[in-house]
Amino acid sequence: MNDTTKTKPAGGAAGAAHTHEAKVYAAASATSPLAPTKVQRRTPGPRDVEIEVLFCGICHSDLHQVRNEWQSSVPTTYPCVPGHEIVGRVARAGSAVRRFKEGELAAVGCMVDSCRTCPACADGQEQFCQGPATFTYNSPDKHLGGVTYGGYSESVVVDEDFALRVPDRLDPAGAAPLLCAGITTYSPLRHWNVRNGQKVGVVGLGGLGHMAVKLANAFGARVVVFTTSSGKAEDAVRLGAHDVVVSRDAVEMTKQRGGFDFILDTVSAAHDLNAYLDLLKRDGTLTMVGAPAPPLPVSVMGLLFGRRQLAGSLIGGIKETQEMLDFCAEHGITADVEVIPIQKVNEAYDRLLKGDVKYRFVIDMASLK
Amino acid sequence: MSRNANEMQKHAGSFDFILDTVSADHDINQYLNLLRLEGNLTLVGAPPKPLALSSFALIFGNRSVSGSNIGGIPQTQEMLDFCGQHNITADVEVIPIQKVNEAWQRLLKADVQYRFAIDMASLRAE
Repeated sequence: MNDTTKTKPAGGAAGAAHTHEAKVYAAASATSPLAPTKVQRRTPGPRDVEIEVLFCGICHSDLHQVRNEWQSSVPTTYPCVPGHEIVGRVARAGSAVRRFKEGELAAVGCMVDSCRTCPACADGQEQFCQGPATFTYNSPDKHLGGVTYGGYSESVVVDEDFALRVPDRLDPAGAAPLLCAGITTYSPLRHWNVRNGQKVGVVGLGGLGHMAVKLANAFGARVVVFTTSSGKAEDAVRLGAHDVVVSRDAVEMTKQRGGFDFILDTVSAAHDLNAYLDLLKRDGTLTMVGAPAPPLPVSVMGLLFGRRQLAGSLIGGIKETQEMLDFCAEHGITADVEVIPIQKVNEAYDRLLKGDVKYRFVIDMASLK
Repeated sequence: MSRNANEMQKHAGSFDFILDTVSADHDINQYLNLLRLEGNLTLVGAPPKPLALSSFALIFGNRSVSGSNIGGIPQTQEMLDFCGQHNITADVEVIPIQKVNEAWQRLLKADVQYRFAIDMASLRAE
């Protein structure tokens, strides 16, 4: 594994590495719209694959980082080329690449590299790499210096260990959001062993929530969706929910008390967790995958009486991402997407902010050519 | 010392499990940050006010916070047997029952190492 570090000197070594130009959409500043430009990609090394991007999903974190809204924890370096829900075709495979052949479908999610040696990496949880992990965009680029550039691009170059196989049965556009929204919901459902016969709640029905409904349903759980808008009820049922509760309705919420084995909370706005903790059975778990910025008030009594648990979960490792893609292929699961040409990406961001998408925008990268 | 930020930082990400017995309002996020990947902090004290919890402290590390409330009868017997086997008892200050109100006053000032226990023979002696 260590030989990956020998291929190129670390950081600021742009002069030493062979590069080529790639067409991208990038933001030049926190207040600029995304616009076409070109960036340098490294020429694939022996262990790299170059992937021609077919589709790239639009994740809300793209918008956060383009607009430098995570300045305090992950300040954005410009130009910023977002996109970490990438499905494409292998255009070139390095001489030492074993798992991919030219012409095959391949995918890239939130990470493109990690240290490979720390306990988290050894455990297949590269997202927690102490290195830290190299994220797909806006993360220090070990090969070229500067930052990594994401999937709003005609191509990406990635170490084959961080490329995923995409089963042919999956529609490539609908599969793209699996690389972030899919694994972010699959990982906690698996970790907390959601299974046949359990009652599982999904809070929020957006990009993450709609994946959680499909996956929890495929695991055999009875799925209840909690949403603030009654207008989503019919759609929730179509996606696989057995029941829908409008969370603003206190009477409805009270009726659900003590019934849930597991609740996945996908909401990233501030909201009342205690109302959901009270719905858990004894020893039940509520896991957050959205990350509300302000600290949330948690009633300790809600945890004590019922020995309940409140947990967090961050995306998932590479091995589990592959497992998730294979599971989705087996069960015919993809995201519900609205495919757009890249020229409409700024408009899509505006609609995303209004929650006006069912349930994920995916850019058809053919439009970039 | 939990008031010493440097000392706390030295232990960041190193604990498998933390048992939090404090029943006053306190910052649990600084303890969550001491947990390793998938570590758990369990609360057995019950602060009357909701605790402010950082979702980031849970998400970045797949950590969890739980509550636990006493235990069942079979487990209580198991615990007694375990303590018998390992010769574990509480450190107590034995008092006659006539001093119970005074003991409560001292309890509020945390002036006890570590538990008052009433010698019930004192009740019969009255």
